[in-house]
Amino acid sequence: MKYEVLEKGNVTVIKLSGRITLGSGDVKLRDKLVEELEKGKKKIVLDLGEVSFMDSAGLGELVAAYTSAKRHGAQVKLSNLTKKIDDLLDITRLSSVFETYNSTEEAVKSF
Amino acid sequence: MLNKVSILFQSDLSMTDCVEEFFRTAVKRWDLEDDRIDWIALSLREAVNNAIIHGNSNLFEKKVEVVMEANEKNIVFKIWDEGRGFDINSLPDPTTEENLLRPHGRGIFLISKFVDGVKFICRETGFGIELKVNLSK
Repeated sequence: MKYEVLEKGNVTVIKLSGRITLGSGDVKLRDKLVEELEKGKKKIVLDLGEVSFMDSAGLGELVAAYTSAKRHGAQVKLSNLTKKIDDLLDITRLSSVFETYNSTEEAVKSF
Repeated sequence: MLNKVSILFQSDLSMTDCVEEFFRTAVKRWDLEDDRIDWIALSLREAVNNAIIHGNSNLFEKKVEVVMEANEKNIVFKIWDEGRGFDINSLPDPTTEENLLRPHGRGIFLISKFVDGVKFICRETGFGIELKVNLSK
């Protein structure tokens, strides 16, 4: 997994790409998010548009991102979901947990 | 036509990538949609990771065996570990309100959604999980 961090006003966008699976990307995502939360970032968008594959560990990291953000008084929203990731969120009912947006611009504006 | 391949390896999580790669190469002989291949690959990864982490408690010296057997109708995967098995009914449903925010516990659930049959199996040296993929779907 690779990531790129973009600042859009007071919103931090973490653009993820590649595979988020056990041992490959899951810890990286967790560490990056914790780093942003510790910097005091309160509004975070995870852009998943270029995530090609995700397993249960990847889903677990999205959940952990959501709960860590909450603990820090921050909020994590998801954007640009591919059909596959969207299906995974639906099947696991995590779509009821996350606010998701078709584009990162919409997600940024929603805060 | 009957094809059977067995891969035996020590409990090293990097082997999950090798098993997936092997499957993605082997599956080319069947006319399966890309999405379905991804879901089967995901199920296989979950089963192998579970065998290493839960079945073999991440102990490198314990072995995992992946058997892939195919005929005209089905592909059957058997993923064996050296653990003591578990009761499938004891697994919490990850989609209920109280479990939704747990970071773990979705592996078997996802497997059950993406393959056509899941069975827990046992032999003298340990336990395993059998995943069945129907090729005529």
